[in-house]
Amino acid sequence: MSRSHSQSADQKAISHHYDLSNEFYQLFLDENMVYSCAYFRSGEDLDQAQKDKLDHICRKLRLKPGERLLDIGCGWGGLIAWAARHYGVYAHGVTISENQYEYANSWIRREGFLDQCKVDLMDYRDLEGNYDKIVSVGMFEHVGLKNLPVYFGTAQRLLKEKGLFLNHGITVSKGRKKSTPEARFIDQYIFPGGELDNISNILHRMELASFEVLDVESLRPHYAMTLKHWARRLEAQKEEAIRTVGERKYRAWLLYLAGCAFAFQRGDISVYQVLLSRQTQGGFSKTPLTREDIYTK
Amino acid sequence: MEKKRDIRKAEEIARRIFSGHPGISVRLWDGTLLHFGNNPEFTLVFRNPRAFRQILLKPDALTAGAAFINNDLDIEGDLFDAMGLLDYFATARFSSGEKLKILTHLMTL
Repeated sequence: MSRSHSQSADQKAISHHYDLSNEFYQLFLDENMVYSCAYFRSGEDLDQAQKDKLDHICRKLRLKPGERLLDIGCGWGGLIAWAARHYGVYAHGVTISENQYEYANSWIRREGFLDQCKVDLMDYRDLEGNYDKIVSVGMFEHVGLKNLPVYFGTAQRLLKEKGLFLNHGITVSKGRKKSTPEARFIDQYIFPGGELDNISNILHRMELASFEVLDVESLRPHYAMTLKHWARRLEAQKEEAIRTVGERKYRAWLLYLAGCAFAFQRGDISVYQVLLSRQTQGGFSKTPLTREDIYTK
Repeated sequence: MEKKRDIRKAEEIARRIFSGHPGISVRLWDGTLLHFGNNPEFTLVFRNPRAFRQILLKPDALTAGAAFINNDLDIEGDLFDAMGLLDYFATARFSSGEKLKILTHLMTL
């Protein structure tokens, strides 16, 4: 499964999944359209769990008003809108999905965040800039394993020295063969060109790109729960879903959601948040001595 | 006459494959409903003999997934529980004699 991951190849692959239909995704995602693993710290409600997850990320990044945040693969804009509203940052999101780009821009305009949020339809590799903080949630699974050095190298280039980078993404467990029937199903029907790696290899790549690993958190049970919510919600909207995307896509998506929930539960795959500090010079990172500030108001 | 023979063969195959399963129901293309184990939480529905043969010859995520998308295969009940079938097929142990019988029946279905 060797893929080129050229910009046009990546655009087609991303479009296959994320440009399916905004109306379709609205049927089962939460109210903030967050299409990634939620954080279940206060009960079972998906909307709350996604808000808690957005907060968890912003707190880990120690966002301060006036800082410049970059969201690589910003989806429908849920995180940048949240960061701008609740943490007072200037948030810049990039995506190569046209449907997500349009939706995110409308949302920012509607919510009145035009002076604090910006979304661009562009490949992350073309970015220029100097950000205080960078976040990437459920995006790096699409860049291709051979491009991980480019991905982490780009994040390093775009970040101020001692800036923080939070990378949230799916991994595959060591010892699990990479080309299983499950992986081939996902590649063929759901996420063409998606490639997963072990967390240990990913941490290795991060260190090679001059990042210091500050914190690693596994959210594996949270993703099993999130996917179960999505599958149940999608199934409950079966008629409407078939109306928007047809029966084949409905059935493919339903199966992939349930199948992935099972894979997370089984431990074949996992999902990690890794907090990094850009360290090309010596000295301590800018994070506090303990993690207490993440958990206290 | 032809149809009845297919169904009897499929029942035989299903019995050989699923009698070790803790709890599953299987519905064949003519409506015949088979139960195995206790308290089945889902029903595996084969909409035609081709799907039955193709999936049971190679019961993995890709074959079953493609059939599910085409609606040649359906699941009634808890879809998440049905995922456990992948484990069942991965770990099910048949004697080589059993395997040969199952294969022969499947190939001539």
